[in-house]
Amino acid sequence: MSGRPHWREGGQLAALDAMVFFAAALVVSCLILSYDTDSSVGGGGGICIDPDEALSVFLDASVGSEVALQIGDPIVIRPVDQAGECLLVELQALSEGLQASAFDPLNEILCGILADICEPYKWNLSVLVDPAYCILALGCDSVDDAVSVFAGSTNLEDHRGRTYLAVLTVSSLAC
Amino acid sequence: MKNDCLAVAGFFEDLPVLAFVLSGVMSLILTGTFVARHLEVERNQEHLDDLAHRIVDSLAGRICLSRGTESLPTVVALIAWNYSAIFRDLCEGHGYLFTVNSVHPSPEELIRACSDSRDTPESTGHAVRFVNALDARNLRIVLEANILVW
Repeated sequence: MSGRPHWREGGQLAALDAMVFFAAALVVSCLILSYDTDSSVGGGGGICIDPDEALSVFLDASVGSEVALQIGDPIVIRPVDQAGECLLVELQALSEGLQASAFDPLNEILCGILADICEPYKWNLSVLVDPAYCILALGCDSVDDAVSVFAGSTNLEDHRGRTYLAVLTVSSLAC
Repeated sequence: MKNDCLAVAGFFEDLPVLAFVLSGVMSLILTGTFVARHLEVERNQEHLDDLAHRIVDSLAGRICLSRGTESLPTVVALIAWNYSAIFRDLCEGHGYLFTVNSVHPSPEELIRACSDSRDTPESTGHAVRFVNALDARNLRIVLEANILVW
């Protein structure tokens, strides 16, 4: 009789059971936390602009500054002219075989408008002529490497009745 | 005396058991509380996001309808609106901050309306819409309507 506490066999078993319960509780807690974290991460990666709407307002917007294009007969684009109309003039000229470099001043303005609308995201505007031939591409080349990519499209028709498909792609990555 | 020693020994050998059990229970309770709280915040945020989208969609509809005989609504007319009266109906008592910025051709803030709520927001909902409007020079400018609700 020393007065010193002794661990009995039953006590050791109870301690072992408690340790197993503690380990199981930790595992369950970790599983719940990881599931919660996964579901939170899965909800991210979005963008707060609608590419269809961005494309629509871009095509309706005025270019805002005067541009003189040297393509055969000089063309002067007025500030009130709409970006969509200017784009159609360019597309018609490109489909007739004109060099894209002749439209560099206009493309710079169009890129500026789209950059203002899509800021801060990466964007790319492609105009396709059937059968799926890209006649014009503006903006970033590396939009597809983002986690989430969103696109909006609309059909454009020039004065000769030729149709083009304009596709605006916006990535979740910031520029 | 012998019985007392056994009681003391029993007490001390039960302490680790009690500690493990309590720690396990506490970890489960804390995890459950944290996750429940997190889910509630997310659900609240989804509700606020939906509300923000409904408000900004309603405003965009009103802006489009306000164009009158013009092809587009004018900036002058949009600035003259009484936004406090509009948001009193739309915001269902939530706090809000509404701004309309011109993003093209010249970036500037045109309209700012804010609730007088002084509550600290726990969650916020946000939505953006773009609309075209005519400015004083007859240019078709691009407006960005932003709303933040809490």
